[in-house]
Amino acid sequence: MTDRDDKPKLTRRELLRRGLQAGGVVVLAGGTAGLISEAVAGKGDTVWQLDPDKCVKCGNCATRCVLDPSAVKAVHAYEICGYCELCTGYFDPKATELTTAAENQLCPTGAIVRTFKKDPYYEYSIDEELCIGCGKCVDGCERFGNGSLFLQVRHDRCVNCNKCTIAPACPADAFRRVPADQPYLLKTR
Amino acid sequence: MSESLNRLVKIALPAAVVGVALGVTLWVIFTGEGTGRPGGRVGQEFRYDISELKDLGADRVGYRQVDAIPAGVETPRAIAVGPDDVLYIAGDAELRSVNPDGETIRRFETGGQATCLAVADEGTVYVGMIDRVEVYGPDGDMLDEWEPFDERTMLTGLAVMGEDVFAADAGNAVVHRLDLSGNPIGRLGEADEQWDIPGLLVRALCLDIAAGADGLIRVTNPGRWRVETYTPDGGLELSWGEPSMRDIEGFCGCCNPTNVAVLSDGRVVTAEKGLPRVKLYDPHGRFLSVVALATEFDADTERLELAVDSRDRIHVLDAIKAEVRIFEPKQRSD
Repeated sequence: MTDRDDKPKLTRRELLRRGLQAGGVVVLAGGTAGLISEAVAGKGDTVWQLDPDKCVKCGNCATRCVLDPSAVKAVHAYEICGYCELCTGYFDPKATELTTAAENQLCPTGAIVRTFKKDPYYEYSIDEELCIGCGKCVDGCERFGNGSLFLQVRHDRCVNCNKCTIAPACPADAFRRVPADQPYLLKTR
Repeated sequence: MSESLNRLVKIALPAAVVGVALGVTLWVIFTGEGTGRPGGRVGQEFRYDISELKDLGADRVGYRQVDAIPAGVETPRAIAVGPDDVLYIAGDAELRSVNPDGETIRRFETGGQATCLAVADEGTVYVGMIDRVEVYGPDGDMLDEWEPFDERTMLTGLAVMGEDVFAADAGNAVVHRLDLSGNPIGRLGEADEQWDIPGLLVRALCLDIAAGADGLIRVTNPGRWRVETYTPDGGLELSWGEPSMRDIEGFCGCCNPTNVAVLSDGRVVTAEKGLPRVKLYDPHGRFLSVVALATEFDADTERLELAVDSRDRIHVLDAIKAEVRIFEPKQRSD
């Protein structure tokens, strides 16, 4: 996130006037002024984040990010997790047994790690290097369990584009800018 | 005529096939749809798909819907059937009583959003609200308001049997036994090695109970995919159930069944979430039939509250449709 407070504060009118002067062509100048004004005055100290309560797990986060793999990752709210033996965010609905064999796992990239804690509780954690943000585990967890798995833009990798490429592709309008010092929208229910 | 037709088939058909194939290929290349590549959409392997499980047990459906009563509140949360088959529906900090014809008898405000409901044989209504219980007379007068339980309490089920009220507390994974004034008498479902009771395991906040005509309490144990039968003093009489995603006889997902009801002869009705469906078991846990398939309900249905009337008709609260759906056994002619 870039702090732009040191830039001169310009009104939209002034920006438009300058744009007109510089461009000479009315239509092009208007468009240019719009882009400049957004870049200079529109952002503030904010970053992109997706609202987990709006997310519909469409899969677009996995493919629409400028990064590959996406900056969107599954995260886990342990305080609302049931530590289930049969985690529906981890096991494929067609799993024949509750083992960590690849064919029993739901995650297409094997990004969830299942760890035995104590009978009958298991902990599930995300390997972010493997997670592509498709949200398949989120859907499984939410449908049957507490919804403790959810997607978030991870700001250790997000490049904070002026126009997030995922946001316009989000069918639930779940992307919005949030204060940079509180960059995560955590799930509490 | 036939020569020109032959010519058309020989030339135009292959050309059309090649054209369609080329079009699809170009579309995939340029849009990336279904490939999971940047800019496209993820393929089917990246989507959570349980559609083929929704009609699991379609050949075992033994019930049909015969009626649906509008809940009359925006967010219905609990139902119970009282004397004379009066149906009580709680939601929006309101309680509504409905006669068997679906006509409203009375509606009155409660002290908050109900989370569970029970009606005694003489018509006293017990309304559970997260950590406390309000008691109303049949005419809607508040008779009592019990002291709140502890801060972890999340009441999700209530049942009245004789002089006892049983309150399912999902937050503490226990069933409280109380007298009619709310004084604690005992607890059911706590782990006890001496009596070989594994204890209730609540992973999601759902725990339900039902009082049987046999004087026993049925309790869901969703974290273990079981239904348990307890004596009022806490003795575990019977425990049955197993997990299964692919078999209609088992309970699906991580934490089912969510709700339970008992017919007059001891048969047990269960409701599940994830694959929202209602099923019937014999008193010993042998699967008998499907009451309502998962295809009958919206996929986002969280809980299906259950109640049974004097004719053993199964009432299911469909909160998304905001109606109480009533099911009866299928007739030969169905």
